[in-house]
Amino acid sequence: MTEFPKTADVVVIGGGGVGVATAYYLAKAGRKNVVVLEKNTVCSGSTGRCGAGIRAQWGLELNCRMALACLDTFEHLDEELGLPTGLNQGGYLLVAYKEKEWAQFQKNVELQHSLGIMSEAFTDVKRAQEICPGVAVDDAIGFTFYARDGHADPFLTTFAFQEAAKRYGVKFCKFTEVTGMKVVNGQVKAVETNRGTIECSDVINCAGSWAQDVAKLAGVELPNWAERHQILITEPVDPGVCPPMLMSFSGNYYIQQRPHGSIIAGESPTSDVRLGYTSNVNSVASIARTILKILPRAKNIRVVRQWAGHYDMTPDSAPILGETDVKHFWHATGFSGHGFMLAPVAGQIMAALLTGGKPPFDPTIMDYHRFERGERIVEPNVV
Amino acid sequence: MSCCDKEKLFNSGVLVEHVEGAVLPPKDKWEAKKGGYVVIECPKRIPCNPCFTSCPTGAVQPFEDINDTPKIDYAKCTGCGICVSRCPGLACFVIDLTYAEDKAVIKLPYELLPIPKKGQKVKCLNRIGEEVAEGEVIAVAEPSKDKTYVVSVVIPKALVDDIRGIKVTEQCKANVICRCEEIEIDKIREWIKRGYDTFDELKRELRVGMGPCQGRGCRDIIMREIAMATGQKVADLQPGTMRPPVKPIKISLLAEDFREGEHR
Amino acid sequence: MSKTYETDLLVIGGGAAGLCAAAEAAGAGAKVTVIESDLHAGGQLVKQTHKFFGSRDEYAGTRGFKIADILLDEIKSLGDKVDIRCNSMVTGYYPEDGVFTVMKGEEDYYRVKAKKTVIATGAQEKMLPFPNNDLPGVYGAGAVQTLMNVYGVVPGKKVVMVGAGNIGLIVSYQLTQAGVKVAAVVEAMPKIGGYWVHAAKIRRLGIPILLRHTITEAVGDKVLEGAVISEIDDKFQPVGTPKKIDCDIICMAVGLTPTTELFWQAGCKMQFVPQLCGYVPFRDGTMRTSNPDIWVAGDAAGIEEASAAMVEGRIAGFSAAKSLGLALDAKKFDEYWARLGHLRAGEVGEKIKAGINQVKVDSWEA
Repeated sequence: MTEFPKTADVVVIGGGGVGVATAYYLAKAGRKNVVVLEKNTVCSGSTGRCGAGIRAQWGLELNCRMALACLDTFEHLDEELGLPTGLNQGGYLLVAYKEKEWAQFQKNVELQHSLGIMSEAFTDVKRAQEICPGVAVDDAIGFTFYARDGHADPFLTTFAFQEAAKRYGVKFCKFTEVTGMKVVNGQVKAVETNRGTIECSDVINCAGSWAQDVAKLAGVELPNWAERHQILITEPVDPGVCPPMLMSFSGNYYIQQRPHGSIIAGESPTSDVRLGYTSNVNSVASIARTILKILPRAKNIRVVRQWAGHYDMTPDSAPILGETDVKHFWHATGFSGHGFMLAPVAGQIMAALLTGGKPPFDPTIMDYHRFERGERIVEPNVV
Repeated sequence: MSCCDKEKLFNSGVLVEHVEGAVLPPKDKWEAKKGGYVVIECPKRIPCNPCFTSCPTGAVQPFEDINDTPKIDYAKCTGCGICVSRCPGLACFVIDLTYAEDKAVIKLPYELLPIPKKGQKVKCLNRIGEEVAEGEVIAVAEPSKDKTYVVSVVIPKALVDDIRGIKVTEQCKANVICRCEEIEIDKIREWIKRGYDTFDELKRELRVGMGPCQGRGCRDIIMREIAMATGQKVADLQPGTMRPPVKPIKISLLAEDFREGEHR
Repeated sequence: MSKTYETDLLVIGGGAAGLCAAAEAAGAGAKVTVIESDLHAGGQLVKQTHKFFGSRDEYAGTRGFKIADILLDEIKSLGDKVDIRCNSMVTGYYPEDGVFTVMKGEEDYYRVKAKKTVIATGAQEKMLPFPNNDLPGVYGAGAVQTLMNVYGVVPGKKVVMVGAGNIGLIVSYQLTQAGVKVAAVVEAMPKIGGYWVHAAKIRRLGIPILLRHTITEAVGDKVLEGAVISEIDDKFQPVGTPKKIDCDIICMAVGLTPTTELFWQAGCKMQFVPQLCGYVPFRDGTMRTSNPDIWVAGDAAGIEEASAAMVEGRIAGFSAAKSLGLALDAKKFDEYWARLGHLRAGEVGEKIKAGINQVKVDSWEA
């Protein structure tokens, strides 16, 4: 293992998509001596367990804009980072089964169009079947589709960020757990770990579903909590079984096919118990049942693996970005299931905040005190 | 060659002289340019522009009409080779003259089997497929998605205006460790060297152990490779996760097991 | 239709250890379900055409496949106490739900809730990395045995055997019996790993055993045409001139490693033990793992001879039955351990014992 650093300019806590992208953009923007601390290995948490979707179809202007910026970034990320990210733009086909949901979808599309996201709203099942041959959605009321949406490979993307960050001199310390934080006169001074203490100028909490625990070490209370979500993957089959990302909020599913051929599908939990990473016997059956219903022709495809991951939830399901009351202690957390998709833009915002640059988005609204003030960022287009 | 023969050749798809859309870079700049410059041989107007749209630096100048032939702004070309992998006509090359006194490197597009490997000797072909030299492969860029392999070959500098293809005569011997995903030991060793020295990290990057056997066939060998490369004992390494199901199960079969009301 | 099947004792694996565990527990009165992934019970025993070592208690002098019949007869004599389900695979353990899942063929899938479980999943073969190791014609020794001894199919004409442990030596002998020429047995170590008498048996048939040699490459275009072997030094690096041997089979007998996925899923405390050839669960004196409802027996507990696997199966079956509240004669239990002690008294046994000592706990309650 590499020698453990005693000092750093910026310490990033968490080696998931958000942490690694943040480290990359920070170093690219000129911060020297950036160190990423990861208690396990890079991508061992939520990023490596996620459904990998990237979409611009949102219902809030802020989210639409951020996601669109991410799409723009993802479309050129292979070239920028020098390694493949596995981007697959087969579009997102959102399926509405409820009247209220469909009404909201139509409003969303109006908003999306005003922002240059040329999504399509339709009720004809035949059109849905053009996009995804064989999809069984006769019971759906309406659909929206945006062809630039899709998914990327969270592992390849995060490792590509990591390799590019290393070229900028970023150090990665795996199996390094943060155990404490030194705060002097309301300002963070050092991070304590199981491998030693690092003196530093800035600390960014990108610890995902552990963000709340990490924040506490500096005396900062976050309203986040972890929610277990389950997911499965099949053996690889010929491409074309599921060209778009199929997703339904009321139907509680998402289904996509990797370029490699495997189908990934997941659902939201029926209980909100935090149960670590164990996966359960009824969940794999439930997801299989959903696939069978939505994509009947997938019936003989075999499931090779199931697993669980965490959503790092906030009370309004929107991220927390920015500095805390402890000076130089920053947050990029609470992505509520969209950390991988938003990682590039989160990284760009954090890099701008820490280098005095102009962030691509004003993050003021994503301040964590919004909850105390009774403010919410209410996104209608989430599960 | 008479001009009549030249015309015949050109009409059959062989570039015989440098014309608009198929020019060589300016010689003086080219000889000093580390990384090389792009050489595009697309002299006929066709409706196609990926060389322009894929270029990250704007070196391929904007097309006014999609039928335009490409024009290069050499001040902007970094020799990255992205257009080489994107051009549907396989008409883009990158040639770097700074490799050695009498050797140059050509990055060329490749879509045949077998795929050559780093260090392998290959036959170099001219524009009519004649073997004109032997070259050594120094890099093979993996294509992302459905793009094309970009192979970097060391060739005699004297033949930079002749060599435009390669022939891979010998199938490289595969030393396959993960049979489900067909991952070879060289790849595993390369990523261990980069610091990805746990089974789970290698699994994430290379998909080893992600196939139907879930690592039964390869875990043991990979753990030994990690132990050897890092000087650790296998007993001190983490074996990675063992997730259900142990054996692949059909979606339809699993679906029957669903129970309403049970938590998940 | 969703199904949950309930049983007193679930035995996972119907090989030497699993059948003994089932027979022992059922003999004590337990209702036992055996899940076996193969089409028939017996595990590796059914492939063994040679006479076994050991003492009479472990059926010494009897050919392996006949031992499988003896064990199955014992189980049959217990009436309907034991339900053996072949062509069935335990596909997972879900600690949150406390159930195992089982798939029969690819047509049936159900959950099993068991009061107690013995995991006797045996072992899987190791492979070596060398160029062209994926050519048709490169086999594991287990596959060669299955082809020859279960299905009566001769795998080829001429073989290079890699590994001179007991499996490599025995399979070389069986190949010769089947009329296949064994060109050479190569062994990386400076001495054979298996019993000397097994080696002598094939040496006197003229089969060379090349110590301190390894395979460096398989040769062939579409199918295997030869093996390149090389002498190696004490750091296992090739020295001297490599030699090509024409052959249409390379048989890999470079060791086994315990099959342990289910222990990991059940959260059992595990340790990599080189002497036991891989990760194995910690166990107490009754072969119970750190999961109080799960016992281990046979190769899954560490690679050893079938004779030891059978006794371990008895111990695990006995202990699991006892924990179900059934009355058992404690004398029998001590006798099993005494037998294991004898089996592990030799040179090979020292290594096994050193391995077991790394994963043995006096009692889980302590």
